[in-house]
Amino acid sequence: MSDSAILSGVTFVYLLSFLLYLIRMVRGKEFWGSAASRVARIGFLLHSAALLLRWKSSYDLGIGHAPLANFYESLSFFAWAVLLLYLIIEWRTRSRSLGAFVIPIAFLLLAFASISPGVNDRIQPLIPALQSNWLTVHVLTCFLGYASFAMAFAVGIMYLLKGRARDVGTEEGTFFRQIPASDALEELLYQGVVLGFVLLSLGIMTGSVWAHYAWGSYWSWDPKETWSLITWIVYAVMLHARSVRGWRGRRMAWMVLVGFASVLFTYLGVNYLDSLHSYF
Amino acid sequence: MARKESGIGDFFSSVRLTIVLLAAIALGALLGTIIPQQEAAEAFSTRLHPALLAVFQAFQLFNVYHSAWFILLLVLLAVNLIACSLDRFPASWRQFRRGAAPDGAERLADLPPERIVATDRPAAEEASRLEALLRKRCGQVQKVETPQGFVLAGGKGAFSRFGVFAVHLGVLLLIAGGLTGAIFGVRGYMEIAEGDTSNTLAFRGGKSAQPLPFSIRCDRFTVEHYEDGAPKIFRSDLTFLEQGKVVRQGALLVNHPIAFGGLRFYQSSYGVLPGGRLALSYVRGNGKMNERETAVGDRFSLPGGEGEVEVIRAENDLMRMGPAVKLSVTSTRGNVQFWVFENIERIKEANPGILEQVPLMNPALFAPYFFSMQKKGERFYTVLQAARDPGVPLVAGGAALLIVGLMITFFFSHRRFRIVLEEEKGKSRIGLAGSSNRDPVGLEKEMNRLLAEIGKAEGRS
Repeated sequence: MSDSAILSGVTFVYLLSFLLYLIRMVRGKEFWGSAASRVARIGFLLHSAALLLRWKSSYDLGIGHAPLANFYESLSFFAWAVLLLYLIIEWRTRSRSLGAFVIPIAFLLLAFASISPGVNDRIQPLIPALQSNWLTVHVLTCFLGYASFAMAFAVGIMYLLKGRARDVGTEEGTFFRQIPASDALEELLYQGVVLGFVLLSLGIMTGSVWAHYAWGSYWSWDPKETWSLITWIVYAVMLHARSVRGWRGRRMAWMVLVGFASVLFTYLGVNYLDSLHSYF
Repeated sequence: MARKESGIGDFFSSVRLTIVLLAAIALGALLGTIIPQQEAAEAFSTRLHPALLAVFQAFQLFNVYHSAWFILLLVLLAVNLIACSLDRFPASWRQFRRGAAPDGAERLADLPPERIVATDRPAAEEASRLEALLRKRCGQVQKVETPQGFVLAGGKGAFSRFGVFAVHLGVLLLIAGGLTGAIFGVRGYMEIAEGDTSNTLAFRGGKSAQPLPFSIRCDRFTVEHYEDGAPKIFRSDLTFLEQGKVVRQGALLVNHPIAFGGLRFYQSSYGVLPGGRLALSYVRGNGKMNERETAVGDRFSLPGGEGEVEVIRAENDLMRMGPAVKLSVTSTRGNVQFWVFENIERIKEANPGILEQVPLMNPALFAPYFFSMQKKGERFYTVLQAARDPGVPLVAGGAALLIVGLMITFFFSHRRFRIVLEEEKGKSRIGLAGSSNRDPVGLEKEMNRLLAEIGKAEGRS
């Protein structure tokens, strides 16, 4: 069985998990929550197996490299990182309410990888510019950072929904009662941004070191580089506004939406601009 | 605080200015990704209305990242960072030095009841146990006697107050390194054909070429492909010569630059020199092989007048399958056209059955003749990029400082603990207070653990 066939299956496992998390939110019964959580963990294990299998297959083809070398592989790893962070948070906070907001992100990423005709799922050999040890560490740090920002984004959505429910007085409904208290959400949002910011900084730095060896310049104002800087600045502004000017609550939630839009543009939108990063 | 305030100083040290500057830099950077820059701008600029073009040129929008206003924004950010840091450093230093010295005014009455435990023993018996408990966590512990008992104080992670300064110093070094590179850096190109020697460094954008004190010979350029046609290796075998003597030889590959004579050389690009010859061969059945040098437009007759051959196209790399020529053969049977590939054997191996599926690629389409072609005397040239950037050490140092600073800032915090003991009639009540410069959740967790330790030892007595 090929790894991409497993991955198509995992896409549906994540969809199922999302639906179960959603039923838990609507019915307010933890039975659905524990089922959703179990399904998510099974999906994550299958997903991990698919990644390892793909890694092994690339060696069988004689072009061995970590499965982090093209757009398809980056989508898959992004989704995997989202699940990894989510399961850690679920385990640490013992709360399942994030699932209904985070799992769909992983599902959409995988669905895009499996369904979009523009995404080539073949294992490709590394072209000369990609033959570097920096490839793995650069992609690893960037996408763990993206996953962390995705987490903060989901929390931001929850925060805004809860705030809106409070405004219109439906806060006591089953659905909104499942969403954690505002200050817990705020703390989680902040942690997601901080972790993402540190990882993004590392990602930009490892990318610069690599560019220094591959292209002869640590920074070329390539659109992807420039957009990663813009994303970095958005989150830097957010962190300063919080720690020095005391921004809290809804403002931070909105900032985190802007930040994630910038992440998505850095990841996907830039491909419509002329870029040296055309492999991802 | 008796600090002299000045309008200008306040302006430059405000975080509001930082946020405005960062937003402006982000916006400028964004413009540069949607407006074509430098070489790419030429085609675009001809399509613009003249008035708009004048505006774009006035604001250097075709070279945003090197424009005066963008550099000014970076310099202002640097000034702002310095002013902010100078403004805030003394306060952080005081917090750092102050340590955890208790003032003796702490009272249990000020603490919430859930942070207080009671014991049966007098203050004198509890003192050493509590001190050891706090010392394990904080290193140094200070003790102040109070009329009711004593107060113990300890702190940890005080260094985390300096993380933010490391980050800002890192950003300053990055800006300084970037400007240093832009002003004093050199970035040029060398095009060397196989077998040739060059000492000329050329520049993009019309700057005149510059001779180097040494020369480089390209002994060989190799390009290898994977089976699917994607490039696998670009490699230049180079010899560095000083006054005609070989001083160094090496293979230059992508991702593996060579440093020589204060410059770093990178494999940047390559090409094929014009002037290579095409040799077309044909054989009838098991007969004798004929070969002729050919080019597009070449016409000749097959022996015995069986057909007229014309070379109608020649490609260096057709559909990533290598060199090929397209032939048109006219005979009494009509006209057939087909491609003759140099690497037909390899193509057949990689794609079994392709000749049956795509007759256009079959070199034996005009039976009983079989055609083949070969490129002869073809020479590659390699393009090297040569760079010297004195800003790199600053940038590397800045980046390292930035990362370390971020880790210190976000993953550590300066936590202070106070254990307040008040004795009454030979019995003690012990309270715990704590404060932190960030991460209230982490502080809360650690205080709960500490309080549990205070309480646990209690149970054993």
